[in-house]
Amino acid sequence: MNLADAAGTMNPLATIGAASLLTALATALFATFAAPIAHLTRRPVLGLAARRALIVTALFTTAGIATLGIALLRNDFSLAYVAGVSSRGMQAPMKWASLYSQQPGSLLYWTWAMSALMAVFAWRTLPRIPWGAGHATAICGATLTGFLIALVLLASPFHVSPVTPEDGVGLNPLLVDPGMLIHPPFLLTGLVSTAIPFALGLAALIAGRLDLAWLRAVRSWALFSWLVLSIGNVLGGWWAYTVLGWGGYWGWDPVENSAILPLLPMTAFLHSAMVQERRGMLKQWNLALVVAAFALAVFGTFNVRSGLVDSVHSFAQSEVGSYFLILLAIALAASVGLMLWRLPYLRADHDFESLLSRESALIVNNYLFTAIALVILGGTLFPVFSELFVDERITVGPPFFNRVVGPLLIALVALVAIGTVLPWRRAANETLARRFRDPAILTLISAAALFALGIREPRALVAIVAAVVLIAVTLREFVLGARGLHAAGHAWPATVMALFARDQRRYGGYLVHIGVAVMAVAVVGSTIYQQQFRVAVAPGESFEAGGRTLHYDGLREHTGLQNGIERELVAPLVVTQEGLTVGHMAPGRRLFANFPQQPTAIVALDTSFRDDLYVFVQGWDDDQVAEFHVFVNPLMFWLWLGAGVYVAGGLLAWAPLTSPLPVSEAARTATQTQRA
Amino acid sequence: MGLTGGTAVLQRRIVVAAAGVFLAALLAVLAVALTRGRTEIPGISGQAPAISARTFDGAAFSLDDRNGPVFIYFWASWCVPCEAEAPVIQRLWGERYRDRGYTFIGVNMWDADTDARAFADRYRLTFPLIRDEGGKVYLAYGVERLPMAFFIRPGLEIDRRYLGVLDEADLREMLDRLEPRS
Amino acid sequence: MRIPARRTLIVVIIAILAGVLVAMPVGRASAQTPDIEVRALAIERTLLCPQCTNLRLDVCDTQLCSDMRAEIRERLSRGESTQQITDSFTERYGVRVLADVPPTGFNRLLFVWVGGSLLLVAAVGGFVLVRLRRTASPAPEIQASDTADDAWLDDQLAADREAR
Repeated sequence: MNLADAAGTMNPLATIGAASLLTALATALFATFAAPIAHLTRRPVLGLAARRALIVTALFTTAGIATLGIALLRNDFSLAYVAGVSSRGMQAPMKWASLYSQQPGSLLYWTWAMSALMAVFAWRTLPRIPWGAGHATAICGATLTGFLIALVLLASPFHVSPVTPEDGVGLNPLLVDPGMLIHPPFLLTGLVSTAIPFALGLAALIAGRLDLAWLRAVRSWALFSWLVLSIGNVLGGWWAYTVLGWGGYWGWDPVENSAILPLLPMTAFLHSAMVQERRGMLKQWNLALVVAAFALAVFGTFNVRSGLVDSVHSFAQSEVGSYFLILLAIALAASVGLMLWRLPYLRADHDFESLLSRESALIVNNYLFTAIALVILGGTLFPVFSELFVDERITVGPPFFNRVVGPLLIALVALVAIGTVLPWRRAANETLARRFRDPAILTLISAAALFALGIREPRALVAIVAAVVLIAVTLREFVLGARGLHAAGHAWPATVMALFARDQRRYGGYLVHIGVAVMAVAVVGSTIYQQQFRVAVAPGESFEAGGRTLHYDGLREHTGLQNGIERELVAPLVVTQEGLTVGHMAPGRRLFANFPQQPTAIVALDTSFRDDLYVFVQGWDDDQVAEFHVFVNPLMFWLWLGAGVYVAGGLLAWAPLTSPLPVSEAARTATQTQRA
Repeated sequence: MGLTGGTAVLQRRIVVAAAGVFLAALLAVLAVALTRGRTEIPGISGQAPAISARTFDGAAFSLDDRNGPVFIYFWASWCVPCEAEAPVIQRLWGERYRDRGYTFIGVNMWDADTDARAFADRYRLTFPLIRDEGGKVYLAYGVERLPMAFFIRPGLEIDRRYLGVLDEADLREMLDRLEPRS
Repeated sequence: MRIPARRTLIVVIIAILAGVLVAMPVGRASAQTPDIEVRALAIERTLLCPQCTNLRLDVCDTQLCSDMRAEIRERLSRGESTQQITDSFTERYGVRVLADVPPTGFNRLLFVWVGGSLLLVAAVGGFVLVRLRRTASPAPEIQASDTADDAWLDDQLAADREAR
């Protein structure tokens, strides 16, 4: 269909692009069918060909996305997609955001990222898992096929429009921001990366081998997926905070919820995998978690693309939505069916020794993540149910989620603190008492101190105490570990490095926990203790905010800007504190030539360790009297710092710093004996 | 296969199957919701909110004085469908409904004064037009997007609230319905 | 030499607590704003823009929202209550303008869903935790049938080519 379009008007880029995607579809189909045939007929060469077909698929999707990129750079407005998202006035780097700013392009980016990850998977991981390589190849191929069909038949970015416009419409105003260049790629990559633990899980299930070999293979992919999803969510929050202009970073919008939902089972998996690794328990559950992460990722794309749920971020309603629902149904049906079939092989190898053990804390952690995911899913979908069953349009907004998910998140932070103190397996009561004594005292003292000094809001109090205790007990683990290494002969400065070298995942994980605790305190500060007011100021006047004085001197107009911005009206503010100038802020409004009804706010921030001043202009009159909307957001700096620590910890846990996994020695020796 | 613990496996099969059934039901609901489309946005009904303003020509206008059927049309000069509808409304007003005792009133909102007047001149609108400065009228009627129209029976009771583009046949039918049946 | 673990930690914790307390505007007056403005802002924060999706009224920049904000102030100065004002907006624009779901009618099911989820997780979870303490034997294994080693296959293919 696309080929015909392209041939009619002889557009070389459209032809190359559409042909690449069609070829990619063919190679993905080959991988899907060749792998099981190779397995059944025991033809390893065909199996190898199937695996390499995944790599070839990635090459062709790369060609597809590169073609679209070239079309964007060359302003080829004969392509309907290019004309809809880009214009001559746009700078080249901003066109990277155009690439995935609407349905077809974002689907192309999605499929490309998925095929690229699967190619790496086929190249690096599959040779090490002879027991499941064929199954995993087929599942990857089938998943790719599903998305390539949508891309080729339902939402191709290579449609040629009958009339070539002189100039394109340009990027949607809200997306004209450097933040758009990084956060969607991370989020989309994070979402697609869930496909690999899913493929590994189903492959292991088919092979009946949800054992340590499976865990080892899936672990680094799950960590990768978790890390990229986390980074994507943090960057998304940062973008919302600095661009959307509503004073916050997380609005529980359906699409934000869709982005965080897959992260929950993935995080749960990283924890329960430790239990399986050490005790051989929870195999079926771990499998369910990786399936859930992938299913929720597909659900998210369905949610964004179907127009079913109102959201700031959704694409226009389209038939792609119902298609993704079918894909989701197939993935879930296959998983549930396989699980039913293979259940007898999913029994625990070991038993469970004590309820007061780290494994039980990890299991309860999983319960909390499950509950959080169920609640968020319910809240996200409830407006759909309401409309369907009682014809009433409602909004499930932040108050609901804050009230319900907030306490669960606080409980989670507290549980992490408790879990850090609990030993594995079983410990004598005296040991437990000794380990818990200091944290218990600390809990009481910090609670009393906070209460005495005025933190009376119960949620704030509990959350801060839990976070403080979590930081303390985690630091204690570092100190104890370092002390042990010192006793073993390491010099003090080297001990921390040695700790990470010895057990990357453990200490990386602890670092993530510290990041979470810091973020928790910052979230409490910036939501519960947020201050907000509006003030109308005439040129030459000043106002106070967050202990600082802001002086306003009238509006300025900036013209001659790029990326479709017609002009910017800015209300510069000079920030002084105790008579000293400490900063300059420039809130204002940006007007777009092609979107006159859609001006965007320019948010101005003045960040300190204590709080953020967050200012935007809500309007002005003919005398340049401007109305400023001001938020004072305590501890915001620490939110981003905590996120940085979290990501650093995640990287440490994931990065192959110590020796990479050896190529399956067993397989190699087996084949060598075969050859001999 | 020589497996023991058959009941345990059965129990777990039941759990997995239950989860599967639940997921299937959820997907079915989503599928139905997708095919059914969106619910109409709710709005005001009953007694029409009062309007009292000056028309474009400076005459005083008050809804309370009217005892016949009323047609209230919310518009703006930048509203694309309004450009198609305004001439139709003007024609029907002049040819048919003015003499039958109907009141037509055009409420201009979210607009600049000069643009609104230019629009009225271009389409030679002669039924009363008012400018909704400050948004008192459209807020009272719960208007959130354009074009939007209200059909009001004698006695100022709202018969119908119409969101979207009007075509001539529908417009006539909805207007004719407002007349008290003799 | 020992790291004075406890002392170090105490210093760290005191630093955190002090930092938190300095940052939080506990009991700090939000000054300069008149009472009606504070009340209006409180109402705005509970309402959403009817036009945009999921955007609070207080931070929305459309003409509609700015007119709605003016109406809220006018009604407050006329002495109307928060409830009256909120009700009049839901009458005109539907309950979807409420940021929070009113716990009435069908919406109660949302809270049933939340409660049900928590109960289910707690009940099934508790049951599983207790059950897991029972002894389990290692699960049977399925033998992997295909050996798939790229290096070996490449060697084979190269050997084939040479033979030809």
